[in-house]
Amino acid sequence: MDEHLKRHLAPGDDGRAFTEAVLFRAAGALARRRQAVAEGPTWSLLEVWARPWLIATLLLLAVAIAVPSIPWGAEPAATTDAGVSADALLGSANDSDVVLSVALGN
Amino acid sequence: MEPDAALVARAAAGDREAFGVLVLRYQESVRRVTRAVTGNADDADDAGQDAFLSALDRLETYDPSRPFGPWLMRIASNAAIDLVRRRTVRAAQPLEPDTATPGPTPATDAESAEIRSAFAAALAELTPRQRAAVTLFDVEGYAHAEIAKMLRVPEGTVRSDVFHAWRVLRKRLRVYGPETEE
Repeated sequence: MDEHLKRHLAPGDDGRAFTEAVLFRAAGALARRRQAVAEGPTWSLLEVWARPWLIATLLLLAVAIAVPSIPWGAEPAATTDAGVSADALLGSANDSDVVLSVALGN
Repeated sequence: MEPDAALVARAAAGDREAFGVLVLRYQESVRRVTRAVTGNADDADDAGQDAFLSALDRLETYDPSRPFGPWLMRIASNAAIDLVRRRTVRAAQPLEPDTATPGPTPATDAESAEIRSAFAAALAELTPRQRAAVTLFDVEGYAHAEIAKMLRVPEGTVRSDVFHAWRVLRKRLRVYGPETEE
């Protein structure tokens, strides 16, 4: 059956006319390719390759700028209840720590 | 014989001769598949030409470490299926016996007109994808997995398409004797 099917679907010519028709239609595209080769390498490939790196670099820069401006840690809580925290800290500290901090402060 | 990958590289640089060799080398397979899918000799050659032009446009996407045939057949099958979809209004006519097998050969002389029209009728009963699948499998010798990639369907779908196509072809050709039933 395969052979019958193959015979049934066979174009029945040597394909030269078909090939010429394809080449005729492809003339413009082939000429553009030749012209591109003659003009030398373009930056398009570099652009395609570099685009992800460019985006990544921009993102990193944005993060680097944004990070210092973010209020990190528990600073807001410390400022709102600074007296209590200081007292608690002082109360919890050992005598030797207090003496050391006083000595350093002086 | 110059390898396909070398011809592709030259064609990508605009070498007309290299592209012509590629077209001549693969035109028969491409046209068989597009004929099976479109069921019409003129549409088949239009789709075949479109496939080669599309391949030329996309040469940069071809991986030279892999065979060129399956890559091209994928483009050709899809070009033919797309053409059939675009021309749903103009129903595909079965291949006329004269255009399907022009040029008298001993084989075609022996083959009766009834068998040829039975083939045409059987193919017309199938969907474009089923026609592509059975032709790529039986005539062009590609594996189910390769055809699945070409047609962008699961491998099981290809097996089912080929099986269904066989069933239809056998049913249509049963009356013509055991030779056509294998």
